[in-house]
This record gives sequence, structure tokens and C-alpha cells, in this order.
Amino acid sequence: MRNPIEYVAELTRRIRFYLNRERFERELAEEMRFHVEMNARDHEQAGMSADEAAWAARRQFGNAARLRDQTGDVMAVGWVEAAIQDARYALRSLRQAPAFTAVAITSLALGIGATTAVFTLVNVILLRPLPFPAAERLVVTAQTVTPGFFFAVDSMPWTYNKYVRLREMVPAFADAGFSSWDEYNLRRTGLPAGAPAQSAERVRAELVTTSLFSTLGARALIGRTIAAADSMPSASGAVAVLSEPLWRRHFGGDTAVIGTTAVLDKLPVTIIGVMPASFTGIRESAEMWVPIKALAELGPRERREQMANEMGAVVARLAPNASLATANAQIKTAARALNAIFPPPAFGSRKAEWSGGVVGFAEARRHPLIRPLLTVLSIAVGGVLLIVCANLAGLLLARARARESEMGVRIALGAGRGRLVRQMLTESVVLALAGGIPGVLIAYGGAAALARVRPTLPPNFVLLRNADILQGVSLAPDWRVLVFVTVLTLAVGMLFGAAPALAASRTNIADIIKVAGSRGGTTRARGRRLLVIGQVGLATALLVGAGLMVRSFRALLASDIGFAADHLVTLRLSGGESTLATPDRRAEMVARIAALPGMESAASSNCPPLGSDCVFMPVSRVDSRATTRGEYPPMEIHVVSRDFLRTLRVPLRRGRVFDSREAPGRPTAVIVNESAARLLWRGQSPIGRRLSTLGDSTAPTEVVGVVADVKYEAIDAPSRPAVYYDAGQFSAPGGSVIVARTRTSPAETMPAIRRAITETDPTIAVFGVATGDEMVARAASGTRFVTMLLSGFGLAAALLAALGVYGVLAYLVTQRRREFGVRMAIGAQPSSVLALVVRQGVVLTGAGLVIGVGGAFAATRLLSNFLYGVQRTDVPTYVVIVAVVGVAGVLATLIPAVRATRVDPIIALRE
Amino acid sequence: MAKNERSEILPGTLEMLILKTLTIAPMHGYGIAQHLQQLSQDVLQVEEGSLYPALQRMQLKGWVSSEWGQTPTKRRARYYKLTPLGKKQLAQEVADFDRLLVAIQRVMGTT
Repeated sequence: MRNPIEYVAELTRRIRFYLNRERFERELAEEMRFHVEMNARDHEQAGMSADEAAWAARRQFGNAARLRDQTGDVMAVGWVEAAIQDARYALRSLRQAPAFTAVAITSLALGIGATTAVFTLVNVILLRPLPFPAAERLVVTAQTVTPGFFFAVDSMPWTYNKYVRLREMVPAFADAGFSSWDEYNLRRTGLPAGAPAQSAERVRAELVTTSLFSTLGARALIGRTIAAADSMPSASGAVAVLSEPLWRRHFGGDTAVIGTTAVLDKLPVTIIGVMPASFTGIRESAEMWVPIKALAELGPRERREQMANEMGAVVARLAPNASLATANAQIKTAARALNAIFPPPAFGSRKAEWSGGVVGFAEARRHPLIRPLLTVLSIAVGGVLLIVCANLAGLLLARARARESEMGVRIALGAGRGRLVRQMLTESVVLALAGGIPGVLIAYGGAAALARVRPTLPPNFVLLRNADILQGVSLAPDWRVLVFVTVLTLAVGMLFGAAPALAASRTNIADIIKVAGSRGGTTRARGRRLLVIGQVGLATALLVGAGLMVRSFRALLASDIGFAADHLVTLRLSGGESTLATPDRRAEMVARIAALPGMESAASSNCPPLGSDCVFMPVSRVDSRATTRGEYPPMEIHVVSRDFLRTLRVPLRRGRVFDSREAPGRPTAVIVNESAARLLWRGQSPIGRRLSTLGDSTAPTEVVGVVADVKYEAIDAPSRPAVYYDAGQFSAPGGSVIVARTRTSPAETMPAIRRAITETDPTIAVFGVATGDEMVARAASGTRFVTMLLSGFGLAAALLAALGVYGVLAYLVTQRRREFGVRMAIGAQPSSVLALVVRQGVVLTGAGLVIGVGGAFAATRLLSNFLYGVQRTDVPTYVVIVAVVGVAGVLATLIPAVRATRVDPIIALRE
Repeated sequence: MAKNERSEILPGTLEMLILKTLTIAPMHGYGIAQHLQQLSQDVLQVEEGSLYPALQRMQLKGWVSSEWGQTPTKRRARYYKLTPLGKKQLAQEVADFDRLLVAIQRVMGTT
């Protein structure tokens, strides 16, 4: 209907009107006056008196002020002007109520700040794309094994030789790279003479194909990334790319590092580049990247042969026309062909199906607990913000009540109802903005604090999903956070402003003009009562969640982990050209540590408690019977020095621990844990029975002892059946984990332990040092994180809800002063007035509790991932929380109730 | 505030009536009001002031233009006159209104 030329013409006219709006208003007023005067003159000529004529003309014309307002509204820019006017008015009226304004702005700033802090984490973890061009086209592929060892379907990394073929067999991959993983002792070489010698540093390196960086589209900060030409070593060794933190830490952030040399264990490398801090590799915590093939070429022959079976992550970039579904289908086809070339390991009679699948890169790196964690956080913080809104809505309603006469006068003077609603909403939006701006700062600080106390999530077996996504990530607000906080602030302003705005628009002038005393306050407060019931409900639900988490956390700390964590130190060793090579040298080192002053005992093993680092092997024979595949889950295998179980103080249930009867040469004796004993011998004594877990080629071993279950994975994970071997019986050394029990504080003995290790072998790097208490704290950190936050949000919610109850009752008492005065004047006891008010509070709190318990029952489903040792319907928790909220609710009613009993009838009636 | 109790005219009709009125001659607001009342024999009683927001809207749309002039009694008054665009609009609205009227009559069975 309207063509653009007309539209532009109209806009031009609107702007012209706006620019000349003063003259326009003057002229409009003059025109209207003229109209009324002309009409009055006509009436006079028709025989009315002058007064009558003027009156009739005015009535006929209508409300001039409102019409002028409407005429102003007709102009496009009129609303801008009105908004500015409203905002100015809002600021003025807020300045007149400084206490209200301060409370409102503070609670809003905290509410919006906390919500935005949580959103900042959601943004960084779930929304922000990875720092690669077209990152949404990047995928990770893994093998799938059905049925798996651990789950119905296990994810397994591809091996290098399968990757090489896969790359050619899947047309949906435009490009692909392979990345395996190892740790090395890094030492700089070729330093100028006289430079201080640098100690070796343990670094986590990714061994990558030369196609990896081009697949990702990652660029170096300085120097260059690994390219196709780097696949073979040059005369100066392989090339190496550093992470930004490693470059700063070990190379002093010197740009001259490019071209310098270093050794990884014994392999020479030349540094060619440094990646930006945002690049953390495929596994997030990588510190260095080296070409896999070139490094293998530098090593011994076996290393080159091993490379084919090296396992690693395969990252691919989808071709422009390919979808995840096509990639998946092609991988399944390819996997069938690969199974023909590399027959999957067969075991027993049942065959597992080996295939493959593909997921988005970002999705693959997310820990499966991240989403539930963020969901719980978001809901909790959203609940608190809603309560803040409800409190403010309550306060504003009370204010609106106090301003009813003002509103009445404004309506009587011709203000449109729409304009009044807008005015009230503007006021609440101005308030929200005043809270939202400091809220952004609080959000930034809050997000950083949350990130600092972030939990160490329990390791997950699925490929790549151990990544600590927040490592080295900037939490500075980006455009998503700014859009979020703006929308949130406006929405919050509208939300808590809606009720008072509607109340204002319903103002009935007749009521205002009538004597103020005849109003009854109860009906008007219905909105506030509903708000308070909702607040109490939300707070109750949050507190129930917090209560369940507190119980879980306590259960976690009190649970039997199978070893004594106090006075315990664990540390891990790597490298070491002589010590780790022979069992004798290792035994010598362990003996040296055990002989340190203040030390009770020391031992070595291959798997620390609560570290999720154990090796699993299938049971191949029980007594004389060969097992079938899938009959038993795989056993956790521990190869330990003789004092290990004693050092950890693992309780012995039956038989004996390892002693001198275990002759070196080949494993003859094993100790099993209770889970394994139960699983394999179903209640019969396992002592003297036989067991094979190291393959059919080795002779069965005899069970000599049963020990308690130790939590090697996580406190809240079930113990797995475990088998202990005596390291002294193996010709190859066992693991590189040292455990030591001290008499004094474990932290104090650390320097001496380190010294003992260095004296045995200076090429050893020590890492993963932790006391037993630290290990427990880390293992409980996820639960602690959720407990802490839910408790904080729950308490804040409860406090705000109590304020809400207090507010609405205080308001009711003020409204009914006269009534109370009359009651007391005609002889009511103070106690009955007190009961009257308290009853109101109890009804509100009770209704809130009912809603809250129902809500908690539904919402705690979200906590199921984090609860431990407690049901989500745990009755004691509900009872305690209901009692606490109930008492808080009654306490909140007491102050207004007592005030009601102090009403002086004379004063109340005189008012 | 009670709403105006007089019978409301069909929305949008006021603008059409103003346009129609202005086809006779340029007029000031009061003149338009007088004319509307005489023409419709007080059936279309309008809160007279509501002419002015309507006139404003029509000016913005470019259907009428205005300038200040003098009345025969030597008073200053704003005169509104129809623009070519307004004439087109009137034709359009009359056509629309006719169609509507026919439809109403058909429903009411008054033809």
C-alpha cells in the first residue's frame, strides 16, 4: 500500500515537526483556544450567558491537555521525547527515595551480576566457538566397540595405521589430522657457555601429523606451525612448536627462541614456533607439539614399529557439502573395510563389533558433567534473580500505593493511562539499568571467581572429554555477554515493573477523591501475597537442593576410600635414564625415601589412588576354568612394591600381604580386593585359589590375600575389582608412582623426598605431587563446588524471601493500623492482635513451603549427577529445610506483629 | 476518567469525513467541526478536540497541508487544505467505504 517515497516524505515531515516542536506546540494551543473561543461566541449568540457558553464550549471540545498529549504522540519522534521526559522524571522520583533506591540498586546489581557471571561461563563453555576458522566444521572421530569393556558402547581412539587409511576412505573429510599424546622431560640445549644450567621440565606434548595444524586452521603467534615438510627429521632433529604458557615459563617469553634447540628425553628438537594462548591443542592441556613421524624416526627401531599402533585423536574438517550424518555413514563403511585389514582383537567366544563414529569438535571436548553442572547453576541463579524481582515488585507496589494520589491527580489533569503505565515502566527500567551497569562489573569478577574455584571433574573414559575448558580462557565480557546483560536488565525492569504499572493504571480517581480512610488494604495486597508465596517457594526449593548437596558432600568425605589419606604423599616420576630402568634401582630409591627422617614407609606402584589412571586386563582363567568374553568386567591391575598396601594402610581382610615368599622371576602370587573376591568366588574364600589376568601364556597365580576396596577412580565411583601383583616378581619395572607415609606433616617432607630422588638419578622429573588430603579434596571438588554455590544461592534466596514476608506484613500492619487501634480500644488483647498478624505470615509461608517442596521434588532431578549417598527424596533434608524456612517465616512476621500490638488507639483513630 | 459517552464514529471514518469536508474549501479546525455537525445532523457527534490529533496525523501523511490565515472577523486561524495526495486518498477511502457499506447492507438485508 505505502510506497517508499511516501514513507521517506512522511519521515522528513516528522523530523521537521520535531525540530520545530516548540512552535508547533504553541500553534496547536493557539488553534485549540481559537476553536473553543469561536464555539463559545456562537453559543453566546445563540442566547447563552457568557459563562454558560464558555463552559459548554470547553465540554464540547474535550480534555485539551490530553488531546495535546495525543497530538504530540502522533509524531514519530514524540515517543523518544516522552521517554527522555519519563526517564528524567524517574530519576527525580528515585532521588526522593534514597533508601528504597539504594536497596533496589544493590539487590539488582547483585542479582544481575550473579546471573551474568553464570552466563559468562555458559557462554565460554557452550556458546563461544573454538578459536579456529569455521570451527563448526571441525569434528572428532573415534572407534566404537559394542559391547564395550566399560559401557554398552565404548569409545576408543583410532590407531595411527587405521587413521592413515581412514583419511583416504572418508570423502566427507576435506582434511584430517592425528594427534597422540606423550610426556617428556624437556631440556634446552645449545645455551651459550656460562649460562646457568636449566633443570629438566616435565611437559605434555602432542605428537601430531603434519596435517593437523592445516586441518584446524591454527596460526602461530610467532614463528610457524608444523607443515608437510616437517614430517621427517632434519640434521638438527625434529621441529617443535611451544604453547604460550610453556614459552613464558621455560623460555622466558623470548622471541629469539625460534631456531633454538632442546631435547625431549634424548630426542633433539628445533623450536620453530609459539602458538597463541588461546590455542591449547586437541587435549586442552598440551604444552608442545611435535611431528609424530619425525620423532619416531629419531628414536630406536622399535619406536618406529610402535608408531603404527599408537592411539590418538583424529580431528577432521568436513568437506563443504558434507554433513555429520554423511561422515558417520562413510566412517561406518570404512570401519568395515578396516576390520578386514586389521582384524579386531578376539577374546573368548563372544565377538565385539568394532565400528566408528563422529561428533563435533567442541562437543567432543566437553566433559559430560559440564551441561548438568551449568544447568544447576543457571537455574539456581535464575531463582535468586526472580526472588530479587519479586521483592522489588513488592516494594514498588507499596510505593505505587503511596503515590496513588499523585497518579490520581495526573489522570485528572488528563494524563493518558498508557502514558502512566509507560511512566511507571520507565521508572523500573531506569532502576534496572542502574543495577545492571555495576552488575556487569560484578559479573566479570564473579565469573573469574567461579572459574578459580572450578572443580576438577572426575576423569572420563570417553576420548578428549577430560578437557579443562576454562584453562587459559578469557572471561572478559564479549558481545554475547553484553547482549545478554542488556536484554536481561530490560526484561528484569519490565518484570518487576509490570505489577506496579498495572496497579497505577487501574487507579480510580473516584477512590482518590473520596476520603482516604475508607480504603480496605487487603484486596490490593493480593498481588504482593502471591509474590511472597512464590518467593518462599523458590527459596525452599533452592535450600532443599543445597541441603541435599551438603549431605552428599559430607557423605563423600565420610565415605570409605579404602586407605588413610592423612600423612600421605604421592608423586609421579618420569624419564630417568637409569633408575626407572631396573627394578633394583627403583627399589633402592624407594628404600632411600623410606629411610628419610620423619618417614614411616614408602612404596611404588603403577596407579595412584583417586587418580583414575589404572590399567585394566581381562580375566582369562578362574581356577581351572577359561572364562568367556563379557563374563567378568576387566580387572584393575596394580603392580606394587612390597610395602605398598601397608603404606596406604589398606585393611587386610584375609590371608597375608606380599613378603619374602614371593620369589623373583615370574608372578606367582596375587592379592585381590573384596570386589574381585566377591565377583570371582561368590562368598567362598579365595585364598589358595588360582587366577589369570595377564593372558593365557602366563601361568596362573595363587591368591594369597584379600584386601579392602580402594577408590582408585573417584570417591563417588564404585570400586572396581582389583588384582595386586608384587613388582619384585616382574623382570620389568612396575609403575612410576611413589607413595610415602610420613610421621610429620607431609608437606614438610617433600623437599627431602625430592632430594632423595635427584640424588638417585638427576635426570628424573617429578610431577603430580599431592598429599593424600589434597587428593581427597580434589576428588570431592565437583561436589564441593555445587554445594558451595547452591548453599550461597539458597541462603541469599531465603534471606530475600524473609525480607519479602516481612515487607508484605509490615505493609499490611500499616494499612490496618486504624483497625488494630479500634480492636485494642474495644478491648482486644495484644496477644490476639499478635496472633492475627502472625497467622497471616504463617499462611503465606505455609503456602510457599507447599509450592517449594513440590518444586524441589521436581527440580532435584537435575542434581542426580551430583548426589552421593543420599536420595533426592531424602526426608530428613526436606524436614529440616521446611522447619528452617518455617521458623524464618515466623520470625519475619514477628517485628510487624509486635508493632501491630503497640498501635496507640488514640493516635490511630485520630489519623 | 469516564470515556466520552457520545456515540463513537467508525475508526478511520473521521479522516475520510475531514477529507470530504476539505474538498469544499480550505477551512480552519472549528470550521471543519461545524461543517461535520451540520452535515451529519449531529449524528456523528465527535469530541471536537479529537479533530486535532487526526489533522496532525493527516498532515504527517501528507494528505492535508496547513497555513495560518485570517478569518473574516480578522482573527488568526490555521487553515487546512487538501493536497493532491489527500484527493487520491479520499477516492480510495470512499471506494473502500462504499464496499463496506454494500457489505453491511447486504448482511442487514436493507437493500
